[in-house]
Amino acid sequence: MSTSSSSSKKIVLKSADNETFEIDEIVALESQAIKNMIEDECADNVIPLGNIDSKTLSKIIEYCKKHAESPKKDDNADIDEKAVEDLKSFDAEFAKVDMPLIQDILMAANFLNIDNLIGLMCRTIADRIKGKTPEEIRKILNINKNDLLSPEQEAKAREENSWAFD
Amino acid sequence: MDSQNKRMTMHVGVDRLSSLPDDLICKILSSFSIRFVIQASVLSSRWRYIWTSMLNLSFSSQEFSRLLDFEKFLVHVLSSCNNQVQVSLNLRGSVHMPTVIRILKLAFSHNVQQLTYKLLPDKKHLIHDLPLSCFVSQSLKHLTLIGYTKAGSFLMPTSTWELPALTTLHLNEVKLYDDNIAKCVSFISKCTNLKSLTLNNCYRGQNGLTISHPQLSNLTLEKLNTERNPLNVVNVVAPQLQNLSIINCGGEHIVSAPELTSLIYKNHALKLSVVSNLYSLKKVDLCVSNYPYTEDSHKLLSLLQQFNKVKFLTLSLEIIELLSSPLTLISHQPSPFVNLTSLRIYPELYDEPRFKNVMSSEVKNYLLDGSPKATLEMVSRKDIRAVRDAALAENLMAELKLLLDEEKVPLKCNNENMSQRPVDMSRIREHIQSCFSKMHTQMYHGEQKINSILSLLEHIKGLLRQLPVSKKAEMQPRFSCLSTEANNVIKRLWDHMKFEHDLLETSFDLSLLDLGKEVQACF
Repeated sequence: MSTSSSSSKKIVLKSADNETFEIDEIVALESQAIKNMIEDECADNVIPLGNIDSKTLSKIIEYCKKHAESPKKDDNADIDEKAVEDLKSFDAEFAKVDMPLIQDILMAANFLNIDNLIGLMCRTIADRIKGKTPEEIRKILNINKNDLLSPEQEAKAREENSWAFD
Repeated sequence: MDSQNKRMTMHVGVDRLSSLPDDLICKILSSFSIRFVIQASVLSSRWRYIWTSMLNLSFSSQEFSRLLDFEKFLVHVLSSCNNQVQVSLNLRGSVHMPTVIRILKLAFSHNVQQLTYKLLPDKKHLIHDLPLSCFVSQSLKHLTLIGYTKAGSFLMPTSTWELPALTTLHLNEVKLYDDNIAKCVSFISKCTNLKSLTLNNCYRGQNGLTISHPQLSNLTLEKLNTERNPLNVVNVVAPQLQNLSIINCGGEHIVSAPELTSLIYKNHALKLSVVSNLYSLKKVDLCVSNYPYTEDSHKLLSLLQQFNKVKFLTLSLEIIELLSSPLTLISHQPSPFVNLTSLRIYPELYDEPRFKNVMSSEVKNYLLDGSPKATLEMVSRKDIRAVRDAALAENLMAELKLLLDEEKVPLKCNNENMSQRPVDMSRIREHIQSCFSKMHTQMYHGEQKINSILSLLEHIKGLLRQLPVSKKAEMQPRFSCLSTEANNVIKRLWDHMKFEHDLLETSFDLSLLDLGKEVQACF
């Protein structure tokens, strides 16, 4: 659990488009990557995140704030069911964004190593491609036409595991 | 649609997902069936061989129409994946046993670490005679066996299991005893690394059961049924045991577990004795759901005395009632608890208004006097009902989702009716007869499916209506989604039946026309 002294310390994150975000350290610690940087004392006042744009970064900060605020599961106490429920519905709302942004968040969460957020984004993508045909999935994920298999390759892939394509 | 596409292309331009590392793509795919994962291999060159690097590839034989196809595929995967694979076999009672045994041997020979073997409901009520003695593996770490009462449950082997690497064992609907010797077999004694054991809905025979293991750290016994003699004893002897749950098990339980930190005991009556010290005990959840027997109150007092180190104590209202009944017993006794930080009281039978949701000052003093800083929480009947109803609705919605997903598989039509048009009258009659019987079966199955979907919907709706507003609002969107889905599925089932009906009509029509032509040709 956080103590009041640690919540006063601030961290500044800078996005690829040079926007800066000042956040409480406790919020930044949701990212394992930033946590490591702080622990190794190799973080300056401003942490540049050259591969994350401001739109994505502000979403990620929104997520980390909420998760840093909510009580952590603790061996000592019964897990507060209300808090768990509250977090669940926050996550559900949070994931209601378009696919490009989801992919951006996933990439950034992977870079920042925010485990829960990676899981949430993966589940969201899975939900959206569930039960769809390959053609629909290509559209949803915006798979590049140049990466498609040639008809022969596709036939071979289907042949190899024909049972899955009945 | 056009404008949306434009917006998308402006925003994306590139396919970001394909630049993700394999493990993330695997994570996205991890919730899917192996069939879907394999289908994804045609998406693009990036996705072509992703499935071979999945960490937890879960095979379910249910996805294959024939067990032999599953075996072939398993051979293919086990030889092309170097990673740990997770094999799950979901089988009906009527499968070809030699093939099953071959598949198991194959899995074990490839050092599979996780195996789930589940029996599916089977109309034929066949006994599933799987020789559990064929479970011999040096690598298996997690094993789950789930039987199905009506398909016949598993029988434990008469010898002990040779599974030295096993850490988790979960048995559901398994008969733990041998009819011939009418005794439970100590099947885990050679699983030297076993840490966690769960017995759910198992039959333990009439001569009691002893669970004795030097390493075991978690033990859950739930609905452990006995046959004939409900009074036999379950002995637990586990020097390293930390977590113990005994839920809805009949009969007496005698526990020796000096390292125990958490105990959950929820049963009809208080039939628990602890014969070791409990110096490490931190958490206790104690609940009896039956009308308390006054004779249990002495036992309760001595148990509470043994729990004196506990920090988090949860008691059902029925336990409080039991404490209150002979007040003379506790009125001149000091409170046993010195470390208590929280006490939680809740009604187990939330629709049983017999016990008032209050605690007499004597009982309160007895429980709390030794720990002045402890917090007290009385959970109201309404709250506990809301929590349980929400959980039930959650489960039912998951069940409904499963049911609906099953129906999404494309329905196959019986085109065979059309292919061979019979010519002579007796064949026509035979043919039409068989069409009718097919129709009947189809209608019957259709009706059954639609009925089960409807009754689930109704049940969930009833539960949701009673939930508190906030909870209701949270679950409502999912429920509407499910309702729409159910509507579509039912419509499809109906259309399919109509289609079959039309086919029948056409074939009927054509056959008789042919007959007419044949007669004409005779002239």
